[in-house]
Amino acid sequence: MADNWSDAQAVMDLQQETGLVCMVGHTRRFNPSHQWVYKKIQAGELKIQQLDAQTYFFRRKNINAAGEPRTWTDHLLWHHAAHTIDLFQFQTGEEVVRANAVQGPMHPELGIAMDMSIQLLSESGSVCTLSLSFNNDGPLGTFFRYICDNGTYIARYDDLVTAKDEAIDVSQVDVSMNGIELQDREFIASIREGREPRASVAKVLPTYRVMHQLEQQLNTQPTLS
Amino acid sequence: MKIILAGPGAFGKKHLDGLKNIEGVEVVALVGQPLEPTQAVAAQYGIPHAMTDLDQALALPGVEAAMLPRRFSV
Repeated sequence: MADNWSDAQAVMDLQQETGLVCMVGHTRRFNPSHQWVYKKIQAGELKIQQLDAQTYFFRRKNINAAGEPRTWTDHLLWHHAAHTIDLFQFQTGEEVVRANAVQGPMHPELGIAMDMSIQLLSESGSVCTLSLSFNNDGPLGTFFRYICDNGTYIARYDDLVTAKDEAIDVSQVDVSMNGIELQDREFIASIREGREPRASVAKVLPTYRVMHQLEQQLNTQPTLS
Repeated sequence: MKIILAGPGAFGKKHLDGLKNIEGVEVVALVGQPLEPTQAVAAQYGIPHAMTDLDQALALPGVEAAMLPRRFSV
């Protein structure tokens, strides 16, 4: 939604002024894999003890997911961490009460940190450990390990497996197996029905407040030699 | 519902693939820079307008929604 807290607040203010549907692309609220876990948590069958997430790309040049040149520079905190922080708050249904971050040195040409480590704690004690890197030479993408009181599950985009790598059938979770399509369906449906969408700007705003806190913490990190 | 989409990159195409499966949705314009690759993606998905200016796309008659799978400024 934004790459700083004041822009995120500006989007929120504009939504309130206009009253229009404004939804943010936090696709993990929609992937069948993550929805399967969400439904178990909502049913009281699962509680997250730790969400362990790895966001790994090999992005030492400014290119997009298809290997084409990009007109903007990607960011580990304000883009990739945003997805996981939002997922953690969505799944636990709780606000983050403690958040820590450290980062590696800035890339001399891209001007961004290429490695980052983030820790989050939810109100009731769920932990999130997030490792992010643009230096990882494959496999690429984000992978989640849900360590729960009643089972351990690994989500890879729309797919979900147990800790023993046994596939879980997520075909009945929603009307499609494609998280991006499900997200788009929610956007269109919320406009047609005149209601707040599942990933409205108001619902995701706490994520941006956490990132702002993390950014302030990173700004106090001693300069690396 | 007539919608426009800005950002014909890797994720823009994933959204266009998803939107094809949603009944009653018509993407009437694709916004991106530079124009040439934007036109190529628009042609591939049968989108009638390719343009570089977001405001111009929003001003098209009957547009009810915009999707922005790209970085933008408020």
